[in-house]
Amino acid sequence: MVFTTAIMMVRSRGPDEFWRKRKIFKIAAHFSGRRRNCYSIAIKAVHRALQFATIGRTVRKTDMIDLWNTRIKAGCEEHGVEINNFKDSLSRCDIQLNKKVLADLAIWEPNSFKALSDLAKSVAIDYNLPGTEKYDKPSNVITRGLLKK
Amino acid sequence: MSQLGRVKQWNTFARCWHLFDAAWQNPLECSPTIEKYLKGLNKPIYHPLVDCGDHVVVINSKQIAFPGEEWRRRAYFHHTGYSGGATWTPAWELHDRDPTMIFRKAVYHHMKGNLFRRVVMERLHIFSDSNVPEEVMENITNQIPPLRSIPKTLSSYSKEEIEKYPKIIDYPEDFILSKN
Amino acid sequence: MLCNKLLKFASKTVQTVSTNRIAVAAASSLNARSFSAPISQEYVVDNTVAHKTFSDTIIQTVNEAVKNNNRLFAVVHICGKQFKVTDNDLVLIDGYWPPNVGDRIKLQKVLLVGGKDFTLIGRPVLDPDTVQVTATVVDKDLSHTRTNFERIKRKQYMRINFIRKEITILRINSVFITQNIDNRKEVQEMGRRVM
Repeated sequence: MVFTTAIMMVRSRGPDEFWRKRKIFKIAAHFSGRRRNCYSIAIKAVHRALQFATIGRTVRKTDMIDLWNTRIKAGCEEHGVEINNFKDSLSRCDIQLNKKVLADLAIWEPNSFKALSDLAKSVAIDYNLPGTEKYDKPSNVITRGLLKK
Repeated sequence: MSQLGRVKQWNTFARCWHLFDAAWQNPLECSPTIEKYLKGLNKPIYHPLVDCGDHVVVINSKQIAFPGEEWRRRAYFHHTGYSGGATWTPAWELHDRDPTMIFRKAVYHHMKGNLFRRVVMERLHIFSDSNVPEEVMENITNQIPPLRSIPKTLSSYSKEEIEKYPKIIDYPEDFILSKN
Repeated sequence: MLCNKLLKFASKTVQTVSTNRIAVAAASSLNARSFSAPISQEYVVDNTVAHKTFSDTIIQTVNEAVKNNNRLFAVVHICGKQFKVTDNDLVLIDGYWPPNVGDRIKLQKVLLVGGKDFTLIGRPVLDPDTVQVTATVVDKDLSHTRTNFERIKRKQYMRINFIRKEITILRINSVFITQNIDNRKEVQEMGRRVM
């Protein structure tokens, strides 16, 4: 007996199935186990990964800011200044170096960072900012033209 | 990495040994500071994924100080795993048994419960008095200043200082001032 | 025994504070005013001559150090971002930026210049006649394809978007100081040079 209707019911899903799935497997190439080889498992993993990548791009910015703040705080403590006095003094002197650069200086240019911290200490003492009572005024800084008001 | 680069890497990430005198200090107050040095937050090269922490050697942990009723009120829980094996030990009793445990627990519980915690705690060395092995003392290069100032007891003043100290009135001879 | 020695090593001694600072502190803390406190005298010392000689010696030392022609680094402000650059550094700038490939540029907003022996800190910007940072535009291209993928689970919402931003790659040719740092023009331009 020949069953012709069964054969008629087979439908092709489309000629591009191979390339459609290859796009997904390309992204999942470094995943573990069946997540890189089996399409229905890989597609879920790829969707999850792309979502995290998209969200992570905005999260990275806040993470970097936190890291820079931690590094600047560590650098300030090495030189005996409080971080809030440091930032306040630098902004009062119109020194507009941003956090990224200050963190880089704290790591790679310790002498420059020391110069900035000495300057910040003297300016903070001259402005009588809170928390400056225990600072020793550095003898190598003149704040004659720096103070306003 | 080149040979020079390798040496520079070792130099940068070399672990320092810090000393901390725990006499008259509150371990709950000190644990943030100690944790900072253990994690490497005192260094501008800090990164959360990089193991850049230092060693901290704590001495005189037998002489730690809790405020108020803490010695009696604070209790530490332990369960052996067997049924009926739960115990609540007050701080004074735990301190008698092992003078280093309270400090260690204070630092451990202040940390976040991630996989770094066990590794970092291995780098905290606590001694109950000031007898520190020579191998450890050789490594120490820095002292973390104590958070609380240690008050001077009457017995530590010399007789001449006491006599020189200005007085308003004189106590009568049979007045008992102190046991000493 | 051991602890006493170590305490001496690390403990902070009482610091002597100058009379100037005490006077100012007392004046500012109105809540803590005590009428039984002694009247503090303020000795105002005229430091202008001493300061001038001090600053002149520093400027002279820096001018001599500049002549050594050591490698200098600069903190430069381009397109709203700050970069720490030296000679032969590559800088990547995101977004539309007019200069074309091959253009030689002199960067105007230099916030800080430093070397082995000295640092010059601009407030906020250093004099562009003294400090020169030259660069060449090496490449103008589109960035790698960034996939923006949004999905809300079980709600049949899925969007995919591919973004390529314009980027410019800059090669910093040199960072150098042309003249003595105390050389200044009598009439200085404002406006364009201020951040």
